[in-house]
Amino acid sequence: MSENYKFDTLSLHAGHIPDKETGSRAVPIYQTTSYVFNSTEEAASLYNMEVGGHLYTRISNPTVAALEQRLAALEGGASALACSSGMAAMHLVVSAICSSGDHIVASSKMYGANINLLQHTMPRFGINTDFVNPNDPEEIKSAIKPNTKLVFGEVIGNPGLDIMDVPEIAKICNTKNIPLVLDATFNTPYLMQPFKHGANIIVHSLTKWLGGHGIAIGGAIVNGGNFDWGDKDKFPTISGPHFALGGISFWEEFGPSALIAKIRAEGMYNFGPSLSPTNAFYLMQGIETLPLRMKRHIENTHSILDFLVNHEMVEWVKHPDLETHPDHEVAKRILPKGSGSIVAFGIKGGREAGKTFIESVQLASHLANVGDAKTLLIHPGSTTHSHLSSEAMKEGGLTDDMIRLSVGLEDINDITKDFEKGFKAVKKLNK
Amino acid sequence: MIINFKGAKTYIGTGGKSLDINKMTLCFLHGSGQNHLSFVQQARFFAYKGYSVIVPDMPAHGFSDGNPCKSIKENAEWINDLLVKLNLKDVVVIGHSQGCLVALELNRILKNSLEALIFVAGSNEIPVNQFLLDLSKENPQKASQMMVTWGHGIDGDMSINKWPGHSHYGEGNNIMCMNKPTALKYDLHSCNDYSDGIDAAKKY
Ligand SMILES: Cc1ncc(COP(=O)(O)O)c(C=O)c1O
Repeated sequence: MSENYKFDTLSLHAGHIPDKETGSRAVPIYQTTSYVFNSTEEAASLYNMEVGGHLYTRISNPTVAALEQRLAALEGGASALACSSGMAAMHLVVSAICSSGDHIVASSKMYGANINLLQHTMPRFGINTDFVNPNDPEEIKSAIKPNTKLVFGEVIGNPGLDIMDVPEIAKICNTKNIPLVLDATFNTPYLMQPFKHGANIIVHSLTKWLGGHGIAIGGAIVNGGNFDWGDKDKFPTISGPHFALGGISFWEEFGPSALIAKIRAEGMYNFGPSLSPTNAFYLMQGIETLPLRMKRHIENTHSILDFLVNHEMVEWVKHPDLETHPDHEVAKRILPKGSGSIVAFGIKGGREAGKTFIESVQLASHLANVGDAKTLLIHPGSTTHSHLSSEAMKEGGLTDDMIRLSVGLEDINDITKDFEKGFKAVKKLNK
Repeated sequence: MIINFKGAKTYIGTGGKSLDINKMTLCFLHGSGQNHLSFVQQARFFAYKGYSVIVPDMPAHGFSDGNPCKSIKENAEWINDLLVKLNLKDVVVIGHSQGCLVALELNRILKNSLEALIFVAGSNEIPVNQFLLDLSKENPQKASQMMVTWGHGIDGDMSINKWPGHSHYGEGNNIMCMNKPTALKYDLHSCNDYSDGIDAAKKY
């Protein structure tokens, strides 16, 4: 990260200085698919990655690049690449590092689509994953095989809020020369910067807190530049000759940025999950206030935790900042500013109570997203998991009374007042 | 490409093309604490414009093993021996910072037989302040970080880069971290101790 400017300043400025021609203070939206070449020679050089610049928006775009460079600055990474969604980012990383016959070790407690990609989709392409307990470094260590090419997990797991002991896991990966790839969506660089703890690659869903307003889907990969890809047998498509640019070795020619160079030259070229320039602009507007919003998200979360823990209608509350959370000690160590604004809690009265609560609140929005400025709620037992029995949900680490809450930035008294409405309705039901 | 040179694994960047000793060769010499990756784009650009390109990682830098050279003259002799080993004849040397001092001394050894000398951010001498000299010994990582910061100015601070998605700071720090930890201290002392630049330039 910059030595001269602090995080809050970089959130506003990194990636853009007013352009000399127009003086535009805001990052301009370059809503264009392509860029006029000054000469055939220039075009050839751009295609061949001999010079910086843009040639086609599927590969790169000036507005998207400003976002990428802002993320690289905020995470303290060597380079970054933004793409169409968090899931696209995840797929780009896996497909850039792994080939058929390779193996992944991943957390068993992650966002459903992350699990599905690794459990069901990638095996069709010969890439298999063993799932392990994310808060047990020893289990992670023993799951690593000779053909393991990456270790993956969410710093703060969705929806179970398990916390990975990143420094410990990074040590294990480092001694085995395997990149540690982390989904840092729930923490954002404001709460914790994984590279400082030894992680190598970060995947973000920008859709959530980074964008922060629930208006645009986007994802990003940030490359720490701190991983040695030099083992040609282990990472043949990064350090060995690659078809994309006449047998290039991305590692030898681009060093710390080898992975991002490869993803641009292969993933963006051949899969094409590009981010629209306008959405990049929206997401960057969000990032400008990330420090302010995260501070308030955490303040409101801590107030809500107080409220819920002491509420007669609440059976249990789960958040890593509570002493009762099994990963509380790890959370205190690696997430000292707070462990995010997702809270899980159970309402007395089981599945029916959860359903009634959700249907009775008015301010909090019932929907399938997290990390909006507005308070969001979902009750998996009556929505995403309604087809499962209570027992089946338990096996997946969920209970049928569980509500997942994404704490917003509203006046805290309005949120608690709204929740009281929900609890009152449940009370009536329980009578 | 990787060769065994003076008993040590030595990496020489060639810009993505294989070396053709019959063409004119552009030899890029990196600065203090740097390696071939400071010339990522220049190497590729010229290699694909019909030149032969070599960007050696000096001993203990980048992908090269071996002990770091301890003076500008030692660096120049090492490069001279490398040019002989590779059998290169028409050579243009492009030095950056410390690489400029090495180029001056190399030209002295070769008695002005280089095709051309090109200096990027160079001088006849490069005094280094005592604080940085000390820090490069005690905490080379911190010293690297400070060099990367003042070396890139506002563009570094604000993560401005023509190369989409790239950060001068993040990349610069990691490039310097690839070197053996003692490399920086010898580089900076070599620069600080060197005072023959005017003489070398006058004579040839
Ligand atoms: C932890 C986590 N990672 C990744 C994603 C996927 O992000 P996107 O919806 O931007 O593809 C989500 C979405 O909910 C998530 O919660």
